Amino acid sequence: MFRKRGFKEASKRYALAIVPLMIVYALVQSFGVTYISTHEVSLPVKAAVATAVALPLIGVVFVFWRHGEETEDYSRQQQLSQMAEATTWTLSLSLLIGMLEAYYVIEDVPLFLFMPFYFVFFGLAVLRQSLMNRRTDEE
Amino acid sequence: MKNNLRVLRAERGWSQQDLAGQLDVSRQSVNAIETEKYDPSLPLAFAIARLFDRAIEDIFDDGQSPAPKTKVLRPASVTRLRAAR
Repeated sequence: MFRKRGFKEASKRYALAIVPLMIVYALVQSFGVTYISTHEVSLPVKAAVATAVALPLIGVVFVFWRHGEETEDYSRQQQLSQMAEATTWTLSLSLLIGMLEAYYVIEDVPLFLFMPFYFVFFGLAVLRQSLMNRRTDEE
Repeated sequence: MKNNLRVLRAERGWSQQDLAGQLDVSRQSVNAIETEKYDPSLPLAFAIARLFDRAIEDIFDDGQSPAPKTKVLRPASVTRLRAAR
């Protein structure tokens, strides 16, 4: 689906995609949610704003994936391993929370929270790998 | 995989970042190869060999290379005697 581009070009494409996505997310989140909470809006408008808030974050995950596929081999290996680690933790947590909900131990947890959970786990995986790499880093 | 990438790099006075830039890989990638935590792909191994103007097996050693063939040298008189028999 994505072709290899090498470290420099892949990193450049990553930055060029992530920054606009985060700006769009911040704008839509700020103005869209404020608009909805202060105006009477129809259901389709609410649906459009909700989708507009979600899309940039979905885009970020796709950009992670694209960067992993396009960059050089070692970085790809590291990044796909970090994504696998984050996915494993997120799926495990979602199952655990789902079971706790099913047996009425806890109240319903909003589904959209699993995306931030994924980002937190991804960040922890990156941190863990960089700490491990630092041990052997001699420069 | 054992390699002498660090030595070759030091001979040229390059930092890991310099080498990474020339190979279009991350500095972490160069570090991982030098510390034998990561074996480079075949295209990257070729790129490294080309950059240092060496053969791949001069830089990387997988420990499977056969022992160098030893040629037994005999005086010419012995060879002539054996041929005469």
